[in-house]
Amino acid sequence: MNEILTPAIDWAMVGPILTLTVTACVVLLVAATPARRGPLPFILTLAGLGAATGSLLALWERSVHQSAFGNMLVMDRAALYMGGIVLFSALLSVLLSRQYLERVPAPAAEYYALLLLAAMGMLVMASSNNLLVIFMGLEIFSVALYVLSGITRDWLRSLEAALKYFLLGAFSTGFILYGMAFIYGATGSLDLLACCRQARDLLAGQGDSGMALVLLLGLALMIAGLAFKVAAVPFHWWVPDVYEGSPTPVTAFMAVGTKGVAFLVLLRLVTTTFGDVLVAQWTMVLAVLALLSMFVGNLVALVQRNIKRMLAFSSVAHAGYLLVAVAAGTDLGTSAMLFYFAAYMLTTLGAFGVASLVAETTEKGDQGYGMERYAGLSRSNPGLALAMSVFMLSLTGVPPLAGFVGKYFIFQAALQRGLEGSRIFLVLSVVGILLSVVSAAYYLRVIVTMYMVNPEGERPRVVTAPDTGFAIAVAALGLFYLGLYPTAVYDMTRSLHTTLQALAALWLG
Amino acid sequence: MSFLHLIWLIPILPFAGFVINGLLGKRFLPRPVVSGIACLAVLASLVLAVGAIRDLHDEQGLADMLNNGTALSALGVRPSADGFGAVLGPTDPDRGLVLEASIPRARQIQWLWLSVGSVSVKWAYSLDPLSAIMLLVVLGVGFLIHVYSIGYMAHDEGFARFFAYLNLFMAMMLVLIMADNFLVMFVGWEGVGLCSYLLIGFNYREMFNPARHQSCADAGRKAFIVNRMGDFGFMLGMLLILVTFGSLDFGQVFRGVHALAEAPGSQSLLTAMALLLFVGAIGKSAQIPLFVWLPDAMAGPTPVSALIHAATMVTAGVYMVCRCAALFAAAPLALTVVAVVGGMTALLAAAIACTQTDIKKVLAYSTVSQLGYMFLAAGVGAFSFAIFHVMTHAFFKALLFLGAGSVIHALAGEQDIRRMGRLTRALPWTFGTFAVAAVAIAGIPPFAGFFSKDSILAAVFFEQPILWGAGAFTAGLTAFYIWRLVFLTFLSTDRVEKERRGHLHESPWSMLAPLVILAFLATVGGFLGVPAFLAESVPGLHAAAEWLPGYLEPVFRDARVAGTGMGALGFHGQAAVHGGVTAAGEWGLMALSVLLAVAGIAWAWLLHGRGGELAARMAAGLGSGYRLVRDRFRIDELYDRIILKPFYFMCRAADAFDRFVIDLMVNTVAIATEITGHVLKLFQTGSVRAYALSMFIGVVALLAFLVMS
Repeated sequence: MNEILTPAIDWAMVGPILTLTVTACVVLLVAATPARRGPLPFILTLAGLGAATGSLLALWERSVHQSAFGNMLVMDRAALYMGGIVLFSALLSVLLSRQYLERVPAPAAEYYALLLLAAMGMLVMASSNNLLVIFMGLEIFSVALYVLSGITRDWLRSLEAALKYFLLGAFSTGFILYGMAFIYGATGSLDLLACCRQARDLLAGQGDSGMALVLLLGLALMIAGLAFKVAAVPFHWWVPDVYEGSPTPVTAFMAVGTKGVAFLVLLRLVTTTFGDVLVAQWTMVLAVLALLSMFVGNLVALVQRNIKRMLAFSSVAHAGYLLVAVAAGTDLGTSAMLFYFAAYMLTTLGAFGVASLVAETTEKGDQGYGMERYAGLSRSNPGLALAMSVFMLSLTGVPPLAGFVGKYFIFQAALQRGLEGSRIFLVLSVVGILLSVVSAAYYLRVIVTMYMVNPEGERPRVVTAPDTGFAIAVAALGLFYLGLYPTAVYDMTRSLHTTLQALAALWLG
Repeated sequence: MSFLHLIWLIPILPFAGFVINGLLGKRFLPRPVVSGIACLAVLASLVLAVGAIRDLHDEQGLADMLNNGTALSALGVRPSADGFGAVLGPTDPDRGLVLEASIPRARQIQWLWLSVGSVSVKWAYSLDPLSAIMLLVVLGVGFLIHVYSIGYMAHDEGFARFFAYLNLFMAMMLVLIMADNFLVMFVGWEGVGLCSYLLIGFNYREMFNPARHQSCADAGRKAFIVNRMGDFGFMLGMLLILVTFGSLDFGQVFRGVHALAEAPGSQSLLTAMALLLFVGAIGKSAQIPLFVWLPDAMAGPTPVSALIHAATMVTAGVYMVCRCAALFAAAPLALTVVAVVGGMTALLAAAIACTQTDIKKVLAYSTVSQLGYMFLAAGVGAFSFAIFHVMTHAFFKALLFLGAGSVIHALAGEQDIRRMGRLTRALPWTFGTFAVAAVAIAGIPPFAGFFSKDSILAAVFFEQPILWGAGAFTAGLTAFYIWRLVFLTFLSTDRVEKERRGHLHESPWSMLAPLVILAFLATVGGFLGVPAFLAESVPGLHAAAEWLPGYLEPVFRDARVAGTGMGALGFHGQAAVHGGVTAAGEWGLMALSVLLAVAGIAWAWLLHGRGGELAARMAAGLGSGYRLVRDRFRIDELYDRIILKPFYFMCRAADAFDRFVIDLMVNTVAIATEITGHVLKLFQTGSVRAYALSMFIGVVALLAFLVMS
């Protein structure tokens, strides 16, 4: 009688993912009981996110390289860093959601369960080292987000957003899947690192030369699909409509989480698999995408009068800045991107949080995202106006806030590549800084409106629940922390590029 | 424990004032407490600064002794890690107080701010003669203007907000001045810009320029955005410096500049750095072509115009150029650009000032013009004269603005000089002090402006004769426009509206006392820098010979312009090089500039002293030329047409594409859905297809691009 060999599974490795899954299931069970109306789902969600964060931190302490399931999942520091950002943003958006859900016709328990599942999918994608696992994570969180963006079923606009998101998302998933198939076809492997070795052989001429073209196609399609997820031009069309139509806390979470893990996968793809093949090609493609995104995002944001649409185009512009850093491909670029992302997370969550508070609910849906609604906010809610000013100034890149330090890192990385002789990076840094000057105009407009425009009629005081206020305050103070003492987080991101590279080196020998 | 250990408190105290007044001022604190906190915070900083400057010169000996090999470990003094100074007191490498050898400079490191690989940026302050002079000017004039504001703002409902902003401005300006590296300077640089914006838009509800539908808030926004254009240059310059030298510390960068300057082919790099930084200075100090924001900045309350837009913030650009003197001196081409921009701005702005009818606008263009002088000085390498003029200008221009504020206050908001006149009897103190300032700016000896302007012109004469011509002509114009202002405002005929004449009153003492003190400073301030030849020939002045340039000399010692011997010693070192210039030549130059000033005043009296008929006839005679100058050379309109309009057109085009090509279909969908209520309709409409199509085109383009390459 032969014993069946079970592979050794390190359960602690998937601790955060398991915790989120279990919590989501429990919350869904609660949704079937009368307790769904009480605070229980909210508390359970917070507890689950807290526990997941705890086990993530434990993993961070354990070691630098850890992989599970035969290298399908890698829990390296990069995965944990981005996972931490995902969990933190989930935590903040849950805090923002409770008050929001009281006035919106949406089933709260299901909402939380979906949010947990989305976060879980993001964790899977962040730590995947295998094309199939990437796809799995992508689908888990995408499907959850499709549903979340349409969870207010009675609102047409929300449904429209959900449907658009779903259709276009499916379209882009098609690109990614197709790209994966090409890469698999060319290299015969699904493992990102194994692909790397094969790709190198292929391009060194030790294989079928036609396959090199297939590999190129695969790379291009994957970049296109990921560019959709990070909202880069010309794959950004869905962004304004979906951001505007989705429930605001969901928008905030979506804007951060999706973009974050997609950027991480892009980073893994270009630094490990394509770390030393086709470099000139992907650099150019990413640079062009960055240029377009910064350009279109900033210019179109300038003429928006709806705060959610303005933030949507601003997020397109920020995808451009982040792409500059990824395109640089240096360790400075990697750490700049990861650092900037932390700043981006805080500002996005904070700004959408304020937007969700200032808005009001009518039968037709969420109203009051027009700029004029911000008139006089400084007098009715000085604290909220101050926090919003901090977010806007950080997005503009005014020192000593995190946005400034992050931009500084990014353009430093770009300028360094530029001075090494790469002309496109000179263009990128000059255009980028110039456009961030332009961006001052529309971010400032919010501050001007809050402080210097008189409201028509009485501006009612916005009621802020303690948990919502706490989340916004954390975001605002975090920006000061990252701006004044960036070293702690920056050092963390510094080690991550080495991690990614070391992983590749480890595999390649 | 010396005051040097406390310099970190200098910016913190006004900041604390900002926090207290900003949070509690409006609701919980009575007005006297608010103004008391604000003024005392600045006063305390002033006391600290004076103490620290005294201790700086007392303790500098320590670093020198250490450098000479004397062991001072018993006193707790060690050599600093970089070998350029002494460390005082217990410290670790990232914190503490360092005294430099050979230059009286103390550097206090607060914390390690950014650390990127081998590059680390510290939050650090430094105190040396250059920052000491700026500190004293900013804190001294700032304190007086704080006191003045108590009276000026007494009737304003935003009293607490005003003082909070004012204190925040002081904190940021002090950070800018004491910064020990480019990044900390940039924090202050942006901070003062932000405060300027907040204070320009202080009366945001009021229209500032009804003809063009501009509110005060718009003026603030204009200032901020124009400034951001300058900051773009500053930031690029900073990044270029960082990438080149691997550091942003002033000390390390300027040592790097010296090393680099000797390498062949380094000129273009150094010139690029200097010019990029200068773009920042152009924005902040309102020079051609970015000066358009400063006249509009007059929308702010008058004490703000005096403090920020005359005496302190706008001189930050000059200060930055002087702080980077070593860099600019190593890039002669950049220096020439500085001089030309400065000279042109001085002339152009002075011409505009001659035609304006708003009392504050005249002063605003005058400020632009005087800032041009400062850059002119810096541009010929006479950095210490530039700082000298920063100082004297702070005195007399703050005085002019505060005087104008007193007039406006007395006339209940009237700013048009065509509706003033015959105010001497009602406002004797205001008139007296205003006249002192007008004499000072006109350049009549022995008032402050005479010495600083004359030093600059003398230095320019030997370096850039053509620019000297522009500068000398500007001096005549300056005397003309400022006395035109005096005559029209205080003398001439009575053109005040009846009801305003009724409640005409002299300002309260809290406003007059600062005027008197500033008038005193504007009278004697020039004696800090009496030219050597003059000091030698006038008995009793010997000790005053070039005190300020001498005091600043250690800072600019390394910033001699290659090949000419110009720089720290300015004109007199220069004269020694040329050799041919005699004291007679210097006397001649001086006599000429006094003559020009007197001629300007006489011309002003002729045109405006008794009535305006002659002036009106002249204006009519000059015709379109006069109108062009009066309309400020229509530069605002030009910018509107060639920059803003096409820019907004481009934005709208991008938006229109999104809206009409993409959103039109979406909107059709939205309406259709509302009518039918059938969500499934979404499947059948074009919108998503349009999105998908554009994405598809994107992918095809991407693939084509990759395969082609």
